[in-house]
Amino acid sequence: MKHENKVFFLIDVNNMYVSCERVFDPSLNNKSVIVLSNNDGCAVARSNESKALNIKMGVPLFQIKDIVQQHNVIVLSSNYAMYAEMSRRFHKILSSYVTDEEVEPYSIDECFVDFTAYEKNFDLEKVGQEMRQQIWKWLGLPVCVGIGRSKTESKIANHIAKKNPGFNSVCDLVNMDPCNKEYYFSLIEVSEVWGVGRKHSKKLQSMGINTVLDLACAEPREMQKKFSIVMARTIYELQGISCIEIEHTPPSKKQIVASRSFGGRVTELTDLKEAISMYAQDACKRLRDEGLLCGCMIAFVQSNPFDPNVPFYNKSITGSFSEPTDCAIDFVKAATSMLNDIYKEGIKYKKCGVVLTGLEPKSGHTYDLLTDFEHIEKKECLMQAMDGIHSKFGKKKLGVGPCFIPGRNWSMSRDKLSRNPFIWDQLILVK
Amino acid sequence: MLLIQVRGYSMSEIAPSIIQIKPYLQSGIVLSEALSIKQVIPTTHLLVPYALEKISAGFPSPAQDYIDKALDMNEHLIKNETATFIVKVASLSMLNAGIDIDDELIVDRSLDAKHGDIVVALIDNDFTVKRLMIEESRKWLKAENPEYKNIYLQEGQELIIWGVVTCIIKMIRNS
Repeated sequence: MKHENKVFFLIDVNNMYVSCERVFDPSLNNKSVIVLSNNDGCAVARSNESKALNIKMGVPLFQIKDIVQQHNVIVLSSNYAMYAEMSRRFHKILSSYVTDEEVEPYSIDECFVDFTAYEKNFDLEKVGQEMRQQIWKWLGLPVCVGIGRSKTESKIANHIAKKNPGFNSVCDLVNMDPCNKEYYFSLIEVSEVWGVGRKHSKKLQSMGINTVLDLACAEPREMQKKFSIVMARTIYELQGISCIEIEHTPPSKKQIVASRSFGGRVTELTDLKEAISMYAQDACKRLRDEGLLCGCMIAFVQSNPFDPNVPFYNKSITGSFSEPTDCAIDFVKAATSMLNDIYKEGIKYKKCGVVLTGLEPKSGHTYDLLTDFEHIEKKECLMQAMDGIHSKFGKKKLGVGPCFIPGRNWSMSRDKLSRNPFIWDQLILVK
Repeated sequence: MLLIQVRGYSMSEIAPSIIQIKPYLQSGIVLSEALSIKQVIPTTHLLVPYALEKISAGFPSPAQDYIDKALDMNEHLIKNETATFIVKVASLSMLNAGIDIDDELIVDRSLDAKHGDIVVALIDNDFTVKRLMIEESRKWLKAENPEYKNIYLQEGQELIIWGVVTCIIKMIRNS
């Protein structure tokens, strides 16, 4: 459905992870800070000061060691538990402006708000400023707000607000003079458009479409022939015609991935088995939380892709269950036995994990005529007891195999982990 | 003859494999060894029920009839959950205001700090808890303990109010 009179806000936290860290450790203010991915591998968040040092998104730490030392860049491990709680609060504040059906949490640090129903009664830019000030006061997080007639336009507006300090972090394309709008569109590269990406932008550039303005002026139906319906929709959206609605309910999961890289290099099969049994249990927990059954599991192992001296070893194997299951014991059994087939001696493993696919809702599953229900019930009772223990005592208190005993050979390294101020024994200290 | 179709296979095709799988399934679930349980992290909500009316002794009606609502400590102590944070005290500078080391403070960032409020503030990017004093155009931070100094802003120093303290949680019996 196409609509010409919609209003969308896109609110996005600036440098989310670094900004969260700064709320609880103000000594990080005005300093170069980066936050690393799991296992302290790559820079996944950078403060503006770090961006100014030309530290790129996703660069491995060892490649920027010199810059880090020379400029005293503060390096932190990612504290996902804390970011998730701040993110929950961020989305909750925004949902107070409209009804629940008009908010779409798009990612940990981004949120769409459909403001169409209220446009007549409010000054849009003022509302954007209010949101920004409220999130800053309540949570200490800096945000930018983009306002447009479509989701794609609100994304571009957000980009404009971020790059041009004159906007004071809020850019309203709905009420902007069309000439000004064209001017800003002509300054932004086409690759910045939501959904275009690097692959398409190359092809677009070869057609002489370099900027957002070029794309907005393209003929949607002709472009549909050369690309796809998605590209045509993007062009309509840039022209202020909304084609993409707010998504209320996230589509049910197609797969669940649980994997992490190891603190050090792992060579032994027993260590790998311990690690994969933990990821299988993590995945199982998520599966059960969603009320799904899993029919098929993929197990994989990898060596370090950044090591130039040895060839990259990357192997996976797929196995299916005779009956879809949500029992941790089945997953651990399957994962550890599949590992036997992909393990090779002499490899320094960096990562392993499992992928659960073939998912279906548990409530809708039709069991086979010859299903052994007694056995399934027994497993379910056991799993419910485990779930109960996990929610009461924490998920590391009971598990299959020795994977939750501290100090395993493969445990993740998070050397620079900040406190989680939402846990009783890690509260912030004030003097 | 009756032919039972199960997922596209006829009975005779899958029956042998079922016979093999059944004893395998019944061979029992192997329980992993239980790990030692050390730490308790309470994650449940504790509701304390309270009676609306006095119940006279010997009155036959069950007490449940009088319980209207349960006391929820979160609801009682926290007015705005989204903007509330809890911090721990690490100095004696507010002792005379009843704030001791290891007390926990409930801090509401959504409130506007007024003269006389106890606040968590930032001075030179350091956390401090003090009483906010607003006199004409000047703001300063008062320590509630004669052994600690009040904080007056020096040239170039900035006072940032991080949040307003609304409640002190004081454990008086350490277990």
